[in-house]
Amino acid sequence: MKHILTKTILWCALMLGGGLTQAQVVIVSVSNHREDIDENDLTVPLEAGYDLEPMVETSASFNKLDVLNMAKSKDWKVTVSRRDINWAAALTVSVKRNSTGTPCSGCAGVNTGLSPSTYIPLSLGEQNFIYGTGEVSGIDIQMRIQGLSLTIDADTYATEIIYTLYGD
Amino acid sequence: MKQYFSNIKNCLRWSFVAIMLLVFEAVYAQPGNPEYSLSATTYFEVDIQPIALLDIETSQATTNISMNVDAPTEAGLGLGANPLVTNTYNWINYSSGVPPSVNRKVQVNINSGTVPTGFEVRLFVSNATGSGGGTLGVPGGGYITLSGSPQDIITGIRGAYTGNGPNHGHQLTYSLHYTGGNFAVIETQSAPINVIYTIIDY
Repeated sequence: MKHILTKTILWCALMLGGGLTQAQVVIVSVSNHREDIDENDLTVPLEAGYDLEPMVETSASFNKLDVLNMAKSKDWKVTVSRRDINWAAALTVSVKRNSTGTPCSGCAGVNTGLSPSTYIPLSLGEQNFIYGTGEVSGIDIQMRIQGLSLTIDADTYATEIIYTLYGD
Repeated sequence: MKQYFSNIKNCLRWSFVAIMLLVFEAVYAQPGNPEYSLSATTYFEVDIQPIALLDIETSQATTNISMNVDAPTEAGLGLGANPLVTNTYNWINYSSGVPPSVNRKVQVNINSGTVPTGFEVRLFVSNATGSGGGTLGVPGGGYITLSGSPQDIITGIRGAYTGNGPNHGHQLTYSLHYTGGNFAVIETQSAPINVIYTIIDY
């Protein structure tokens, strides 16, 4: 009986462990980023009289997004939103999908029809960002900030950009 | 027999716990339940640094000014009515980014050289014009007489920019005045003076 009990617990533990390692996840490669704005960011750098360049944009592949541990035929979507820590109302931060990444073998990957490669201005509410099927890794994400001006107080402004994975 | 039932009960108990854990996982590990590691976050920070840039722009070839006092054309006359000479070609431009609760002002003083005895150089600063924006500074109004001591000429600057070049920002009007002192001390001379403008926090 003791043997049966041990086997049962072991089986349950294996199932549990296996299940845990298979949990679907969304991962981003850059979890922390800072943009410094100074006199070099004036419309004409270091020249008195000019305002700041209103927009700063990261590189096209600044961040990479992975959707992992998905069944090959499992449809998913990733939404995006922001959670402000200290953010200026005049600033707009946007994200854009810049590639389809690499789908797993036999996976359809990113649905480009439902996931246009255009900037999405982030709000506190979730917005649909990328749709796909099965595992995908290395989706290039680009970011930009708009609304920069000397009329905004010199300060540190911070927000969190949240990517949330949903199933079909 | 008792041991047998006890083992059965233990087995059922552990199986129940394991099944509950699996059910818990099945519920929370599914997409749609972001509480279970289904979100990824990028902490994003924008640091806007304080900026204080000021320069003098002119509609002429140089910001240097020559104020020549002509000799009287008729014997017996003095130097004529004040101001003897006026110059309005120079403009102050600035870009200012300030932390909360900080203001800026512009001060002026003679950095080197001496105004000849019997004369003074006065300065009038106009309100900002041109393509600027933000909270531009306000001139004190009226003329000041330049000296070696810094004097406020524009106050209340916050986050602002004047636009670049002449016809943007604050126009500067310099004028040379004869103070009406002892005419006997006036000498033919060239007296270069250097005027410095400083933008500071207060």
